Amino acid sequence: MTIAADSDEIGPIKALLLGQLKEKYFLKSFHVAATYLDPLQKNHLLDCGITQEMIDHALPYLKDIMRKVGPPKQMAMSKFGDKCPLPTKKNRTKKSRTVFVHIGPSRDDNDDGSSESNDDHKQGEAAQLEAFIEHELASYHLLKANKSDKKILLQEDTRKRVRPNGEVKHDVSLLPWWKIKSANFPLLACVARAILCISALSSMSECTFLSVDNTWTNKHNALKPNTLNALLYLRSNQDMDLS
Amino acid sequence: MKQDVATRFDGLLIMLQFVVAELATSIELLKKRKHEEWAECIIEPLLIELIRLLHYFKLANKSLEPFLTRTIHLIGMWFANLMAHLQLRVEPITIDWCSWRKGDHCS
Repeated sequence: MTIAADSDEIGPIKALLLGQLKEKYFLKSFHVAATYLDPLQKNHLLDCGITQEMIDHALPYLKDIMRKVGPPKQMAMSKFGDKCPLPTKKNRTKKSRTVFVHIGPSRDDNDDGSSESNDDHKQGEAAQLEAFIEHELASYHLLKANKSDKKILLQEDTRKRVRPNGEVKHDVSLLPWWKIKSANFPLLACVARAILCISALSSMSECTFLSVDNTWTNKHNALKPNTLNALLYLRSNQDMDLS
Repeated sequence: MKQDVATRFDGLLIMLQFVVAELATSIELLKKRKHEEWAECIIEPLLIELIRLLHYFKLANKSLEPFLTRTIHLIGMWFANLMAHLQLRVEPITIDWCSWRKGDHCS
């Protein structure tokens, strides 16, 4: 793309906008982590206006979320570097996706002598998890996107849905890639699901509030909170594909 | 040019695009309303430049809006693009920003 040279008049406008951009458009650790989770961008973070300092902050943030996700089931079954066998339907149990952060004293604190052995066991598990996290991040860092990866990552409509008004709704291509790679990177796949669902702009929430204005009008001002909630829920999910 | 009511930048962009597309009609309308001095102040090349400047922001907005796809991983890329776009250009330049996103750099 070729861009023409600027005139003298546009200079002050650009300077004004640059100041506004620096003030209002800021990158946080989870933005950097989200960018890092895109295999096509992870080796070009410095080209994205992301500084080395931000990367240094984002990687511990990523590790922290991985720690909260907890050890994957395969960790106990196989050693690092081996290909992990996927759980069969028989032994597969549903794992909670919620990450709980415990604050305050642990309930497992005992006065008897068993606490020491428990502590040792926990420390061993933590060290194992830490090693697994390091190994997974190192493997992901070395990963190079091949042709089939690019095909998945760059396709626009992996799961397209047609809305009643004819508009085609595309699904993101990054999440299907992480779903495929979840066998190799179980913790990072969980983190990708958690981080990539964060909305980049506030326009979706603004739309929800706008629909409140359209539902709660001067003529419809006696709606009960439950009715209003139900109507808003229906409005925001009217294009949901139940099939 | 100044609006009576403050609007978001995309409203301003639409207005500027309309003015440039219908410049002759707009000047005629201003003259009809006895605002010749306003008509004289309109500099068409600057308007076009301003439209080009704001249009890029609209592209960024459109690309990042999360209605159709997840876009949080593109925030950094657009930040770098907009920062580069706002640097004063003394001579014409050629930029291929999205090449690495398209995977050209990934072997």
